[in-house]
Amino acid sequence: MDKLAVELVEVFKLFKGPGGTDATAVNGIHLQIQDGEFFSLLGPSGCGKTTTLRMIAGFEQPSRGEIFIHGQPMAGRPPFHRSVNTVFQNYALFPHLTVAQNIAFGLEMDNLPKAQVRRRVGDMLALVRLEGKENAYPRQLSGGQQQRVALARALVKQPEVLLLDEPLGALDLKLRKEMQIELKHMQQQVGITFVFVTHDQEEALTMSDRIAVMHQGNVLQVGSPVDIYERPADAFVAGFIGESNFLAGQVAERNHQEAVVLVDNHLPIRVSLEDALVNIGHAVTLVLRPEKATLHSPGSCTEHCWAGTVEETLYLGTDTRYVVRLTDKSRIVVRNQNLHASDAQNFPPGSPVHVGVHPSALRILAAS
Amino acid sequence: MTAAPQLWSLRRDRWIRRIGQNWLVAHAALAFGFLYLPILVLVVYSFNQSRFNAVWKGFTLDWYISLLQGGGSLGLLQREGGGLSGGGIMPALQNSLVVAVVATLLATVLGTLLGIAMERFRFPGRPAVEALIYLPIIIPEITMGVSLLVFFTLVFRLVENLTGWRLNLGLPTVIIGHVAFSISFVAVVVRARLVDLDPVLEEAAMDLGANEWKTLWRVTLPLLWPAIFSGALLAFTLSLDDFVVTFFTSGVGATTLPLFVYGMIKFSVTPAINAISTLMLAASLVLVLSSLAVDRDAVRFG
Repeated sequence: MDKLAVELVEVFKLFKGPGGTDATAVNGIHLQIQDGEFFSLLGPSGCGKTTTLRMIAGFEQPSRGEIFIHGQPMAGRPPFHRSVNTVFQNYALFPHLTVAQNIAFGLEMDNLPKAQVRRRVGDMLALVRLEGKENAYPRQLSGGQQQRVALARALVKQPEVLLLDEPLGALDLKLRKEMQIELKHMQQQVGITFVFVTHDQEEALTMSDRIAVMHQGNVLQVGSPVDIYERPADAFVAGFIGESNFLAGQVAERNHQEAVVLVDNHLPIRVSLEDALVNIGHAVTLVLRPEKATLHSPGSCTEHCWAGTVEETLYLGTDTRYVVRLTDKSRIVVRNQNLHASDAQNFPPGSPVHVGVHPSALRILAAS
Repeated sequence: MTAAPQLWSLRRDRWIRRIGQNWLVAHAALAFGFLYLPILVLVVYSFNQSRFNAVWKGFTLDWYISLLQGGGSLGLLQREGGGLSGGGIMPALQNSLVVAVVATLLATVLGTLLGIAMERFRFPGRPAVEALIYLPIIIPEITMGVSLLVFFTLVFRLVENLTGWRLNLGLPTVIIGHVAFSISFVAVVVRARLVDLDPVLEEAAMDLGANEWKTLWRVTLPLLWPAIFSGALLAFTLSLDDFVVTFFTSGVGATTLPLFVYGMIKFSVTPAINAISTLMLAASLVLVLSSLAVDRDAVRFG
């Protein structure tokens, strides 16, 4: 597990923009992807994640920096000499070939004997549950089936690394959820390194072993889903992955583990420092996940409490989302689970409430 | 009281619209008449028993039969055609087919490669090549014919001065002339299809281990095949029908069917000409329609 499948060393990609100015798509990133890992590149559109994937595949050459696949430098090596395969965003199935011919394409390029090709295509059809469809043309298949053919066509080559470029983007929500789980199981089954590009944070959290969050050509944070969600490296990550409340404050005291932060017009709150580099007097941002705060009727709040009034109540089934206006006029979003059928009616808009915050729920960031 | 004028204006509008619609129909009928009536007359009179086009004397297939027999049973055809080319209609037809087949093959290969190069590769001077590709399509055919003739004369003289070999105009020069104008048509048709072809399919092929050459053979060309075929049919039709360029680039003995028909007309217009023209029309029609059908078929891959 400690062998590197893919390594990017200070990789830049510049594109010629209009008027001779270069646009930076990828801005000197470092990545180390472990063998057998499900690794996601997550970010909004235009963040450089697809360009990064295309550089690993060999469709684009880095402007600077180096890419290694299993220790081999990839500079100048065309896509057909790399032991990686790609599942494309809109599948890119060959429309003039049948399902079986599509899957066999890569093996035929390797000049494998016909019998072996037939056997491996059969195995793949079974893996993606498309037996009986081998003679259909791509246009005769549903979106989900086309997706599976694309997967089979790439996996049949038994690549060292499988690259997936938003492969589930074209599917409807229910099918996408099914495919997420199926894809994850398949990855565990075949044991191939997956590099998965997506802009869907929930998808990345569900499927990945580790995630790299990208923004404007930079990698902002690399970590497990829990790391990324619970300990976001900066305000962008905190805002992009899930929902966050941001509270501005100032450090009043600190020791090795903790800082006391003054949030405007509120009582001082003691927060665990973790890896944040802040000192007394520094402006900081506290990140609070909506589900980590609780709503109480005035008087029943036992934790660190902020008083306010409910402005909006949104019933979401499993939980209820409240917007609370605090006494200092700032707004805070709180999500509480509906443990009882009556929970949603507890705090209609206009109710005076206390927002309870446990200090361990807060993440401290140096203000940018 | 206020409703009445409105009603009137409504009725007036309806009348104007109806007149407009009728006028449009009449206009379209006239346009089609101008286009197709002469052709219709030509086809009808190819079945006329009379030797002269002016009077209808009854239905016959004799002209077609005599054509199929090489004009042998009609001394007329043999003599008049012979005046120009030293051969009958069958040698002319044979020349036309040889020229069309060879020119189509060459123009299809070259035009396809040109179309692919224009769309898929960035090279210096591409915009200039792009403009030049359309030139043979818009240039007056007579200019093309004259320039080819001048070109061949120059080259022939150069070759004679250098090697002593004496070259003459003939079928090869006709073929080169036809290839010269057909390439553009093939390239334009192929390119139009290539624009719709997602480059990611070619990337997918390379991703799966196909080098550039295999990608071209296994993915690009099969997907372009309908356009290539369609372009080839177009080139074939153009070559078969061409008069002007052929006129300038053919030497003695290289008479094609259009030249032969032209030669016959100089003496008299007989129903035999009508019959030949009808057959050429039918052949062109079949080719153009199949070219369109192939291109439409391509949509199912799209």
